[in-house]
Amino acid sequence: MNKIGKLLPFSMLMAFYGFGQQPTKSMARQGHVSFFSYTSVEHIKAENNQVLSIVDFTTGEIAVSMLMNAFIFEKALMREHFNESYVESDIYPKATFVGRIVDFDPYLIGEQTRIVEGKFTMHGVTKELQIKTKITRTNESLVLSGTFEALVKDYEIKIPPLLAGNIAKTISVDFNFECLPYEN
Amino acid sequence: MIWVTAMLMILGMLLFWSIPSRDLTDVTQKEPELYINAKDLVELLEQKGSSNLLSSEKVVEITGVVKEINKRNNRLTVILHVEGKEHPSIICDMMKGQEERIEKFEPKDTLVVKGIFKGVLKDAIFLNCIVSHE
Repeated sequence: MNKIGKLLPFSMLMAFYGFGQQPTKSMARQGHVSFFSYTSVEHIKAENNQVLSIVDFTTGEIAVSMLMNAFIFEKALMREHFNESYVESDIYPKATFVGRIVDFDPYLIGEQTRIVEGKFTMHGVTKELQIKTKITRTNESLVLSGTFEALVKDYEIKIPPLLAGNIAKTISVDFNFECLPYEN
Repeated sequence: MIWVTAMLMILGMLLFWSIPSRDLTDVTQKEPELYINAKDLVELLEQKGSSNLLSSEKVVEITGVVKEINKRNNRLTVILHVEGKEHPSIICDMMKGQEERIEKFEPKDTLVVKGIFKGVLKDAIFLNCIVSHE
């Protein structure tokens, strides 16, 4: 057996051992979520830039959490109405999503489009969601992005009749999470 | 008559909605309700029942060591941390116009920021932050 032949099993063992040492989770603590409401009266946009998301490579599980009072609006009054009257962020401070990426290949470098399914909880109401998600993996990061729609009435958010024309019945939600390796 | 009243009410609501109200998020003229360093803040966050001292929407002035300055999501963000602890860190989303003041800082520098406490996920989150002292 030549020198390389002798070293090969050792190298493979080291490679396997080294691989085992890599973090199995990836986390974004500055994830971005924005929502849009389009009506003929006005457009409302808000964004949250401190959304937490953790992806487990081994299981494909994903958990997302965001503070409802950390959404930034164009107008202060919109923010007040959103927090005090609609999502009641004092009572329900967080929105969460817990689910898994279906058929996720964590080692695929490049782009894959997958369905993420799970439970989204907002304003104390939990709904099952299936979200088409673009997943881009580089050596350093894992980026998850996509869009989904949420019906205001599904989350028991009450809009006063006088303002009903200002707020869309369906809200469009965009997300982008740039996750980096993370160890507990 | 009912229609006219209804129209006036709708117009009134639209006007009320569109007039910019007093922006409560501008911390430049606000006195902090709590002055604290990053280490004590992290300890406070780790204690149970700390909500009385540090409740949401409180204006807080924090002295801490810069871990990272980034422009992720097109926002200027400063992350303060306590040595030896990855979490919780302190995420400060800076107010517009703070770029020039932040330019002078780099990781390991000590910085004093004032911002509005929003809550805790993995880290403590502060919005509308400004550099308080250099």
